[in-house]
Amino acid sequence: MDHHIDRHFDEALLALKQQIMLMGNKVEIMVSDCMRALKEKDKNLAEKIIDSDQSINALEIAIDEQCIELLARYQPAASDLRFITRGLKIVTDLERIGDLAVNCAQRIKQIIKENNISPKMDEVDVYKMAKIVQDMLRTSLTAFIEENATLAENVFTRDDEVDEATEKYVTILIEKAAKEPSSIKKIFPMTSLIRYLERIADHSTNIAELAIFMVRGRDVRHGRG
Amino acid sequence: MKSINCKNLNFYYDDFKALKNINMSVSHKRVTALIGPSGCGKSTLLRVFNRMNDLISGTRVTGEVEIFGESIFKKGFDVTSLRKRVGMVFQRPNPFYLSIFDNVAHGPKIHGIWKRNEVEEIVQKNLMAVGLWDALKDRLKDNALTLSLEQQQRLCIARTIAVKPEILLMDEPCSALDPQAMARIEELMQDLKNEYTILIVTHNMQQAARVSEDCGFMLLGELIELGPTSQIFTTPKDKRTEDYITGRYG
Repeated sequence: MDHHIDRHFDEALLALKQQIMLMGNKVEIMVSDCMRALKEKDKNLAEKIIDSDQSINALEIAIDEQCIELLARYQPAASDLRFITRGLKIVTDLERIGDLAVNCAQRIKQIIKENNISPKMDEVDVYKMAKIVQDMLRTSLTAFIEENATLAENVFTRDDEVDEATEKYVTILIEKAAKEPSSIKKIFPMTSLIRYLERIADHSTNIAELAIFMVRGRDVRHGRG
Repeated sequence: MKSINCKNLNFYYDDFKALKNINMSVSHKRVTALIGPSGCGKSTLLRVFNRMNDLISGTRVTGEVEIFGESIFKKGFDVTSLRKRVGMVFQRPNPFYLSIFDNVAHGPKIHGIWKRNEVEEIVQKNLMAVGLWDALKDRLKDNALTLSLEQQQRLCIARTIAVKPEILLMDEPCSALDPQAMARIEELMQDLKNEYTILIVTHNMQQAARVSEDCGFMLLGELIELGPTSQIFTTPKDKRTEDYITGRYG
């Protein structure tokens, strides 16, 4: 028997899940739009990403209120309690991803303005890195919504790839800047963009950890259980 | 240390097997709650531990029950002494049709305490322990039935602890009380656990979560799971426990 006897509680949990999905979809779109804005050199799209942060913040507040009301009214236990309390945490990660997407958009505007550093050059491929980050975000959100701990675990190995790429790309760009000091102004926005993508990956890892706790009741933060 | 140990306990009402192979231990000076749907055997199990079920004809027990290491079903066991050591509080307050004073004094007198000053001391001490002394010290001769339901239940608890039990069995002690009275009785339980082992049966899961340190879930005569309350209510091991406490079982 998967449904609660109290169908109002079932409906309220479903509504919460749908709100979290909505917020997750919105931040996914923000991150993918960042890469589209970079590729197409679209300053207007970058502006649109910056403006969309307001709706993310509003969703965070709304979901927090939903969670608190569920806790107060239904005194949930076990898996329901884990879902609601982790829901409270996941919106914090999603809101931070939204902020980081805004930061990316701001740097992309600078990159477009400077117009002479490519996101793909030598051994640096920001598009490839961004694709991994987007996959991580999508996978961790899917794992949370579908309550799939095995799927969540896949996210952790990809985080290692992102960390390696970050270190490699930033090192290459800093060396380039050291050789050509006049290029610092052009290189700095790109290194910042790479760091913001890496932090989005970290938040995706947090979401994956929350999914595992929700499903298995095992806290894998700070050392993976 | 374990106050109660149960091994392979089975209990029958005539041919009906009400308790099936119960194995459990109740820890000393902690509050343990038993939860489960109606008819699952919670109250039957509670009444095993002070052999109140003996008073029902047609009942039969197999297996082993030890109270502080002593088997309570061994031949010649002193049941009267058991019921002194293992006191019981019932769902509906049931004070005697006596004065407030005599309700508390009754038990000690039966057990041989007759000196007036000793009895008075016992009455005062136990009414204080349940938070009734200040309210009732000037009306101890009043009939106990003139008290509110909450006060009657507190008086029943005072009556029970006046004979210095070691274990308190509480069978839904708050179900007849309003929410504020229930909260005050729950607070009293937290004070009492410093001196007594408490085993409470309750239909109110939130109450079980609030007052107990250990919690057992029963279903159809079986003890499905027993563990720390925090673990039972956040990550239960058995799906049947999970279904019950999340309201997927009714």
